[in-house]
Amino acid sequence: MNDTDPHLGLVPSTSLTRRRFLLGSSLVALGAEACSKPPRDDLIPYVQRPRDVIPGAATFYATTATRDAYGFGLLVESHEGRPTKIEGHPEHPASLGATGPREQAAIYSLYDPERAKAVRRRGAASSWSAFEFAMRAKESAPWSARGGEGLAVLLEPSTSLVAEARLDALRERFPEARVHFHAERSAIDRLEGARLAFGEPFDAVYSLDGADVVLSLDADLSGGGAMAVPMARAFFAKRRVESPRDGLPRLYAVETALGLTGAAADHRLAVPPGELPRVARSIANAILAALGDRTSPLAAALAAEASRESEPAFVRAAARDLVQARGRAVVLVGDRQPPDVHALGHALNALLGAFDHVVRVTRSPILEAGAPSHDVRPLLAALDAGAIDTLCVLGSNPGYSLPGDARVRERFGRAREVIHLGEHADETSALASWQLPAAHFLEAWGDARAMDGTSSVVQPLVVPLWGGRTVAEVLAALHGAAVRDSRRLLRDVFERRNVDFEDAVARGVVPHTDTLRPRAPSVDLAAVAAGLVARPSSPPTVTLAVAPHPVLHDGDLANNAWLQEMPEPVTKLVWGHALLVGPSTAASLGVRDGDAVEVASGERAVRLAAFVQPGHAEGAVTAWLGHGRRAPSLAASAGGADLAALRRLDAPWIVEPVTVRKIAGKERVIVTQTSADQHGRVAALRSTLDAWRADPAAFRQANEDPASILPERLSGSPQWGMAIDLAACTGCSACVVACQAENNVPVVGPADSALFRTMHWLRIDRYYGGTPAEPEVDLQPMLCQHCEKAPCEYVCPVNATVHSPDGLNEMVYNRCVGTRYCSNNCPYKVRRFNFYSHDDDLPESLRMAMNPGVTVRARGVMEKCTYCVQRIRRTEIDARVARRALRDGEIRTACEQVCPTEAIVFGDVSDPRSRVSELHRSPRAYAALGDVGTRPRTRYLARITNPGPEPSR
Amino acid sequence: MTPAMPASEGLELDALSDRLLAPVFRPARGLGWLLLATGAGSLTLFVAVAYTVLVGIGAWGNDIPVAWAFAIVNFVWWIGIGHAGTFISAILLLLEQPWRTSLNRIAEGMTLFALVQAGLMPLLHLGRPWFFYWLVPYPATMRLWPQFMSSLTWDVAAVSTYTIVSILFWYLGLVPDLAVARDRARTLVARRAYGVFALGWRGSATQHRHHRVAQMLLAGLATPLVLSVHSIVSMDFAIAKLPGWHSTIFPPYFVAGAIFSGFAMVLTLVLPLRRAYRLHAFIGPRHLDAMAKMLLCVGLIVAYSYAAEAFVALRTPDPYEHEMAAVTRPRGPYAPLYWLMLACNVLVPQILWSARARRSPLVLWVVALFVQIGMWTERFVVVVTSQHRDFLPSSWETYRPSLVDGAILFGTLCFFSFLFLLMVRFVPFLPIAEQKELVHDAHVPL
Repeated sequence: MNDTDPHLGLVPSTSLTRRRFLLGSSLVALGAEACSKPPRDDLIPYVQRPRDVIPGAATFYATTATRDAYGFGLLVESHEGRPTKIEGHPEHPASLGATGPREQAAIYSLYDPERAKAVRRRGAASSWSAFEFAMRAKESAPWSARGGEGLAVLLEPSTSLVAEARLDALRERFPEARVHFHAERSAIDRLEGARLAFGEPFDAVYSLDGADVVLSLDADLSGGGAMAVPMARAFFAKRRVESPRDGLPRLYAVETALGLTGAAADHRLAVPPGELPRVARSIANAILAALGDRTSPLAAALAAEASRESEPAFVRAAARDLVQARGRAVVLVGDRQPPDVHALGHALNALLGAFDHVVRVTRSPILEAGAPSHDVRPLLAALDAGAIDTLCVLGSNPGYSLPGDARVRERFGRAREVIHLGEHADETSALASWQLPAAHFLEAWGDARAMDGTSSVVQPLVVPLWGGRTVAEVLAALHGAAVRDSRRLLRDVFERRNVDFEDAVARGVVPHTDTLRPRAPSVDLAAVAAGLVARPSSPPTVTLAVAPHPVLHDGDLANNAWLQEMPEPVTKLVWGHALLVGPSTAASLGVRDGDAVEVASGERAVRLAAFVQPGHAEGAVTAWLGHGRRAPSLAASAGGADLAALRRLDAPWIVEPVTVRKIAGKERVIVTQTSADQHGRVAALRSTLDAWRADPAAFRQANEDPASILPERLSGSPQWGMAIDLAACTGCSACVVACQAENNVPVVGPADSALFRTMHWLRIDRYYGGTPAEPEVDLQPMLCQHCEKAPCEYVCPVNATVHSPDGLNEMVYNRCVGTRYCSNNCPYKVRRFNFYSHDDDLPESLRMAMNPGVTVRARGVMEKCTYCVQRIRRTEIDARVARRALRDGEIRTACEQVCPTEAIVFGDVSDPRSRVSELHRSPRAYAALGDVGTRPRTRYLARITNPGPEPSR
Repeated sequence: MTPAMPASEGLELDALSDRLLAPVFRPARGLGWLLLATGAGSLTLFVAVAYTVLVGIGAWGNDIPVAWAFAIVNFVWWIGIGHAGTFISAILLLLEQPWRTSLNRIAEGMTLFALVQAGLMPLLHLGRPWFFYWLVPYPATMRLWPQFMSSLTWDVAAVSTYTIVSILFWYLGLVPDLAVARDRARTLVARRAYGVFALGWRGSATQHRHHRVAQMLLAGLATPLVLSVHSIVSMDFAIAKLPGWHSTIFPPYFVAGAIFSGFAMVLTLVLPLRRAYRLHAFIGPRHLDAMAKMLLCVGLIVAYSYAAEAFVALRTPDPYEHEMAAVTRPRGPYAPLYWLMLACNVLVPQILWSARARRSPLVLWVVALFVQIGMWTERFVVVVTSQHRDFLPSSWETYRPSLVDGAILFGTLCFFSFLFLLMVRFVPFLPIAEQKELVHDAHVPL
């Protein structure tokens, strides 16, 4: 490579050396003040310390990630220019200081050793300057002379003002160029539904703190949605009842596969995906009837459709509760639902009086929201017609993610040039003539807007490790922009809007930029009624529900080892996917977990592993996207099948009818938990509100404390402890990955995961109660309980696990000889053993993800949760230096900090006024396995559910 | 003190020495091949050990929750086998059971070689075996001591004491016989080799008297070890909180099990040896009968232990222990092994109530094999079944041994046989001096 780095004038090399890395990183140490000057173009040896870098001290920078194009504010911890840990941005409306698993794992993606590392031209090494030259040359860019005719750009949906400016410039220079947006998880149907209801493509933002009854129609209350954090925080805060006298909101959920929303619900209805719109209409019909409306066009349209009698109890109860809680009731509709269901949701919210306090709307910040450019089909048709000379695919991976009938391989072949910008050599780059490495968002300048319109800055933490560039920068290269530097363009864009750029970069979030309307425009009920799509009564066959993988989404995160090894919250599957089958469907097919099954639709078929999922709708099966990758990669090592063959562009989430049959052989299914029954033990306790009111001391009885011969030796202050509220835990597993990132927890890979050797210090246990058809789900974060009478300590022959005076159960790695007796004697089985040396063959780039404050453990030693002792000691030292006392809440463990619902609270249990002490005194507090006599410092707060009198849950 | 021996007596003893030395000076045909085969088999052990040390415990099937598995099962099994040797040589010596004389050298050798296998296991089992000495109380410069509340430190003391006493005991008994071998060896090398190890034994009355006293003293030392070592090994489990381990019956239960498996191993070794070397004169029906009765008797104690453990567990208010005894063991994923254990250890030995069975070498040998399998299974049931389902159901997972686990078990069997055959080849495995003593005593009216 011989081109120059656009940021620094450095000559990048394809191998990342420590020296180059440090030289580069010193220039990107951009604090609030450092930002007043553009990065200098000269090299500074690290012996001359940059002003804002104190070796050994972490610095935090604000930046922004995206969730389905919407901004998600972050604070990124950086050590000597090396980003190591991501936290949420407390001032950002989508984050509120918390994150999900995907933001936590972005650190892995940044250092992913399999990232695309160089510009390639038809497979041969090339350079950015060669690419730029080619985009200006007449022979290689014939469209440039024809006003862009023959040029097509395919982007992921975006909310970025910089991208908007670049696109405007591109359109100005090449008015004939085609621009299209595509993502598998897109807002297109939701916005279409809003347009039906309001006449304009609005985004709706829900404030669930005002909601007492919530109906979720396949909505995701706690997963990776753009506004999942504020929604989950508000809703679950109301579920944390303090005394039996309090009330709590009720959640109704309709879904196909058992998800976290269904797991949290008081009443759950499992229906095949094709049935869900019908259920929505039944409920709407019942609501309208209860409201006394029988004549409006909507009521007439709904009544015309005969409601099926299979779910009347659920429908009746949901409608009754929603109507009773009028003004405090809300209906949420999932992104995969068709537009008319979204429109119906808006109509119901209008009828239930939810607008303006529970629901607020804004014009969607998504670029060209609602415009035809969000449909990819015209582009495919243009490719067919041979009208595209150069196709520029920026950021997405349509070669994998588009349904099979898009015939991507064939159609892309019709373009003379296919340019692909991506972070990996993937299925699309295999079809491309130009393969360009994309910059990770931690290497990029840019911006994004949250769903409520709030603007925030994307700021780089490092120079692009492999010379990657952003979408906006490649767009600039396409049209030969005058302003090439993204930072300058961002500054221009912000200053045009009278935003103080330096202040915005320092804060990350641009204050007061939300565009929520104080009053929503009224919903046009007649239009909603007219928009209802008549659906044929479903034939009695099997439907395949296609869903984004709950962790890996449409596969864009499939190369992330942290996420591949993060157990999927409900199934506990790691390193692969499966065909989720309901219990009685499984029985009729005669399949058990791991049996090979064939799902066929017409001529096309895929082979998958069967996985029996309690609570899955019968008459339907579910498979997740993101697997069956063809490009050789870590993602491919997870195996599975590509569902593209079965999917169609016009109905990407439903394949029907399909035939499912058992075929010979087995497929790999790896789960991290195989027993789901609590066996009546004091693990994850729960009660209904009514039962708790009848027996308020129910959970106290679990706190019996057997006599012990071990000495009492913990006194003094502070004494650390933790409280975990199971009423607030959604099971989202952000804490699992946060712990992994903070504590350098190794990845073990599929083979060792299958042998139950995963290393997570914090896991989420999932139990099923009830019946296989209607399971009650209990989720319990399980980590070292820091027992006062720790069974692990007295069996260690070498004093490698000992108690600290402030109540921590400590692990002395260099003293550990690896007898593993401590693990045997741990009733919670939270200790993890290094069966191999996980560090030895770690690629160089991944070593940079390590937190320097935490020891990397050697082979043969035991490890476990430390309550983030490095954070405790760091804060204690800071407090001592400042000659002040520690404040409650000042020390936050990684799991506590990341938790979207603030279910985890850490603090000093010797201080009766601390939040953790208060929670330990709660009537819901209990010690897990308290009868074993370990006296754990971590207490759980039992979950209280609020089912109505009918249907029985 | 001792009356003068008649001349004929001297001749008779002389022939006895020749007879007993015959296996050493005229080794049986085929022994070389057996040594080669077992030696080659031992290589699998060394390869598996080297691989484990190089790669880590990940080479095995262990996981979380089953952090202890084959290595600990093998350890307890092998060290248990050793116990019968000590029992025969020490306790039966103190109890003046003359029939033990034909067996004690074999039994003591077996103890020693079983200890070699057993000792390897906990060492290898460590995540970082090169730091094994941290379990030993030595004056470290950092002034760090082992943590004496852990039974693993007791274990180190118990097993190392046992090893030292066993070596001394075996060797002490061997000294006069090595001297005989030295005196009768036909090559200079053999003479020198036996001479060195005979420690200048001359066979004088004083030496014999000192030898006898020393043996009795060592027997006195070794006797409590028979009870204490396996008691302490059992505490490796009993002091834990784990249901299935946390049980007060463990010490006597483990000691009985140890002697049970040890006697079975003695039978497994002696019966083929008796046939190969035509030792019927020395190991007669009386010996077999005594051994069989011991096996039956200890087997009944083991059966009682099973019953008592299950009874207590089924009657306990502790739900965890109750589930272990009532559900996990008899009906869990490892239930077949539990029932196999009961069949081998409780059912099969009952055939020994028949006097004919007790005197039939074939029946005895088959019974002994069953007991060996049963006792190994018992340790698997105790170690693995208890761990795989303990307190929190979320962590209940199964365990499957890896190829390396299998190679280590197979390798220890080979290595044990190899060492035993080496003993058969190079030292008199029937104690010459003690046999002569018996003959002598029989001729001298007391």
